[in-house]
Amino acid sequence: MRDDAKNVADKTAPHHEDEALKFYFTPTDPPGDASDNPHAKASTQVADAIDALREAFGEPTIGEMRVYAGEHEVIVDRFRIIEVCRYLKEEQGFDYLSDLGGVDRFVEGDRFEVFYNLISLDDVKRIRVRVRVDEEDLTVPSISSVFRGATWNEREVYDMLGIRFDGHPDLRRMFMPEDFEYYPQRKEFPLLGVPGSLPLPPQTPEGDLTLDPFAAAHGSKPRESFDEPKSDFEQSL
Amino acid sequence: MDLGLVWTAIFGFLVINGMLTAAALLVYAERRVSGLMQNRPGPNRVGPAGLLTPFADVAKFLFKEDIVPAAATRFIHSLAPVLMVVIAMTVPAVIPFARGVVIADISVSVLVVLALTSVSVYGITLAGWSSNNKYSLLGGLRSSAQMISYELSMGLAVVSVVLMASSLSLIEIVEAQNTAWYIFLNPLGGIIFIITAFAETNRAPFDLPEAEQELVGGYHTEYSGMKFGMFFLAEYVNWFVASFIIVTLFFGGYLLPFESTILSLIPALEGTTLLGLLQFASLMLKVAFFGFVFIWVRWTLPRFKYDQLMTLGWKYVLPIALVNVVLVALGMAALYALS
Amino acid sequence: MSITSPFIGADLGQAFRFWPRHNEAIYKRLESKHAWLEDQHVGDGGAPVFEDDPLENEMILNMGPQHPATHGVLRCVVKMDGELIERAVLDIGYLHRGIEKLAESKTYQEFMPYTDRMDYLSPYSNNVAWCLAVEKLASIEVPERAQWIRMMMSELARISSHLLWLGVGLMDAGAVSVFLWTFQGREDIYKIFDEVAGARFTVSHSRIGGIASDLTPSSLAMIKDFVARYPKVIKDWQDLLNRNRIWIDRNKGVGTITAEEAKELGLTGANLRGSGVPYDVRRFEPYLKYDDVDFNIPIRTEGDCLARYFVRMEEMLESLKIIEQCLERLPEGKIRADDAKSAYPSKEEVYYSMEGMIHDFMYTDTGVAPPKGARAYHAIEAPKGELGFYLESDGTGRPSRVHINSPSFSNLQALEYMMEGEAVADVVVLIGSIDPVMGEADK
Repeated sequence: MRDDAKNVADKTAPHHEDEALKFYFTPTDPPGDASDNPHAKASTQVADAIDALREAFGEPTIGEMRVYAGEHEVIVDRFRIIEVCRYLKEEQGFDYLSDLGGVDRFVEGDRFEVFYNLISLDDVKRIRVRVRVDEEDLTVPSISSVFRGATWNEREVYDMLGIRFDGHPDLRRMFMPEDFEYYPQRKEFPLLGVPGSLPLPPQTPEGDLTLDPFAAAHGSKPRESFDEPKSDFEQSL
Repeated sequence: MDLGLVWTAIFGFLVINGMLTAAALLVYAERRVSGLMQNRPGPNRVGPAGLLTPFADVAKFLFKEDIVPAAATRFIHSLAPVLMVVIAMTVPAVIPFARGVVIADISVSVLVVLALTSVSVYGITLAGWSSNNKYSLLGGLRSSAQMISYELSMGLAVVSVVLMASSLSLIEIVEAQNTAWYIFLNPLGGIIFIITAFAETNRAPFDLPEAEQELVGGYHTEYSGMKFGMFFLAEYVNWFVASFIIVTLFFGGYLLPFESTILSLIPALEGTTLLGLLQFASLMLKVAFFGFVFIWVRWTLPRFKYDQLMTLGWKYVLPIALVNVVLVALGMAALYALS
Repeated sequence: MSITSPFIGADLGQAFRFWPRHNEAIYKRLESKHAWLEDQHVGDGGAPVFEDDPLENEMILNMGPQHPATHGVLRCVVKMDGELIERAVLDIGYLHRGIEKLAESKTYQEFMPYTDRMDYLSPYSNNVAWCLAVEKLASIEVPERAQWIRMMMSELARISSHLLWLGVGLMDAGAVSVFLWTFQGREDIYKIFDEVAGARFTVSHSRIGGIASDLTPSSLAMIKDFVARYPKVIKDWQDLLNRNRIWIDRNKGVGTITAEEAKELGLTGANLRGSGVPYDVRRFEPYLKYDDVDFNIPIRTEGDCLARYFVRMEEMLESLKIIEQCLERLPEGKIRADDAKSAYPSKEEVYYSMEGMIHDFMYTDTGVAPPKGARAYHAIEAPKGELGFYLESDGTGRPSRVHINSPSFSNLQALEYMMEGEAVADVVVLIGSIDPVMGEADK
């Protein structure tokens, strides 16, 4: 069992939602629904499906509907996501999972989100459902029993954000090696990686494992090549 | 054969060197022809028109590090390429290059050819096994299965020729084609023999044991330097030899086209060196044509899949070859009955 | 050499043992995986085929990440019985660069070159996908001419990508010549890109709010020439391959996926259409000017490699048709939005006016700043399938979350299922026919 709390040590960083940003290039408007968006598509306007969902599951399960750029999306209770997906698939005809991904909102409560992008091929509709997960209990039921194609996407979310999917048939890391101990897509993970977390093969025949691929950026000089003679200029230094 | 032992040795030396040069030329020819087929200039940097490319290749092979995997069986790993080359170079000993010009005039030379081609599978299988690499092993396995399957049909095609010539000697088979080449009398056998020759030499589309794309080179994955060069050489010599045998068995060997007519028109030619040279030239032209066919096929067709190869070998080629043998036998029996 | 250790490399030091848990997990998965082959005979009332292996005929073969046929660094761990694959586990991530993470520290425009390096066989499509997603997020209108040019270039990119698929697919099957022929085709397209964008490969020509530079008469002439010549070239290839017995035998019935399975597994692009599911983003949610042009979407119902081959071959001809219409209907006008907050000013403005220079500086420094809390998903039909960018904005000039829905990732997932029950030789044909690009799948 990996310790999920390990990654969330650094919680002192300011939260984006609370803090007013210092500089805006453009004065920001509230998101609104951007109904005049030139790229809005008819296919993403699925208020009917969301109403049907609300009727079938009731208020606490189905949260607020959000509209931006003509895209309707809805937040649902994470523990009923399997039922919601099955309902959407079987009753509403959303039978194709186009995309599944996770978001680190970097806020105090309900820090993570997982979104499901479903498509109804017959009705030409696209709906986005999302669930919120709190850091304390990083589990979401896996929908791989409903859409088999979700398997890899859920593995990717687990790999990148550390959200565990209950009932997943094969919850391994997707991109990173199994030995890696961090979740790189989380906001507190440094862009250059954690030195020593990912040993790579040695760069010279006699060398040790490469522990930090960005040694120069972390302030240390890279090891010199094993047989490279010093130039005159280097010797004069 | 009235040549003394020394002369035979000198002649054999010439033939071996000729084969080596021919292999180098074939490497060059293959690259140039494939270059033509692929709308590109082809190798044209080393030497005039790129003629020295194969020698540059050899130099490269010689200077490359010879790597033997730590887990390989050393002796067999080194033995395999040698075996391949030696066997490939032995076959020309029984091939008649012109009337009366042959290194070893054996009365059962057809059997020698068949035996030697059968042994060459050992080279590949041993290379595949001794490398201790899964890809090599798969290549070796594929090769042995392929050779065994196609050897049967090849043998049957040869049997049909032997039946027609009533002889096991290549020289007599060639001379028996003086009236008509066997490809016209026995076209089925000829086609089957050409197909199986492709399979026996592991040339595309039968290059499953190598299969660069799936088996990363198959049996020679773990070979480098001159050992790989020897496999390379053996492949090209095999291909050359296969062309020789195709020509000898089905396309009149060293015989000039319409030789009997030419001789009856110009009787003075009979028994001269000029006729011998002409015969040699005609043999080489025919061989060159089949060399070209090998290249042509290789750069045109995709590779077979293993099960397709087996289906083709056992379900189509073998039954047809069997039927062909029966037909030829019946035909010969009818001929004897008539005469 | 120690006798006890079966693997000689085991005592070569630590260098051979990085990521032990990773490999352990893969092999464990390989053992525990429920292969559909096992079901086949249980359904008939017989015993499972591969219940035990007393003779130890089975062999685990690691194909990749360094393998000539895996189109990059795909690793397939397959368990084989002779030449037959019983189970397969794919391991990807060897080209993982974390571009989703990188995007969070780049401005929207700065991220563009990274998209070139995702599906590096059709960079222009990725540029367009990224620009459209950002434009949707920030409600930026794009001039007509830019849209037509983008569409034309994306179709060229599609042809370029399909040409590589064709050449490499055939080379994997053993026909090397076709590879060189298709690369000559790709060379022609590179030349066009060079003329249009100034770069042959990673073009980065599209810009948020438009495109970087207008088409010159010479580049238009080159595109016209290409469109005039290529239908015949493609027909020639079809003549060569459509009735080639070996090629058909190698593709027919290999890796068959029914329409239902394809939808379940989330296949996309030509692979999905080869299974008979009529899903093409160009029709599903027309972007750019795809609803204004006339083209067909080739569909096959067989779902095997041969069907996918036919779909892609026909797609190339359809793309040529689209480019032809683009050339005919290309309107005059601006190529970038005339708004300093949504697109770069033209170079003339930058060089000759103070405002232009300030705008250019500000756009490079901060760039587009979509409203706080905005989130949008925009997908295009890339050569490999649906390529979508999901973006979230926190009101700054940098995205707070970029999620890439890459078609190769979705397609590779299905490959794992397709491989089971096929022969080793089919693996290379299957990989070729799924047409993954690891740069995109590994993000």
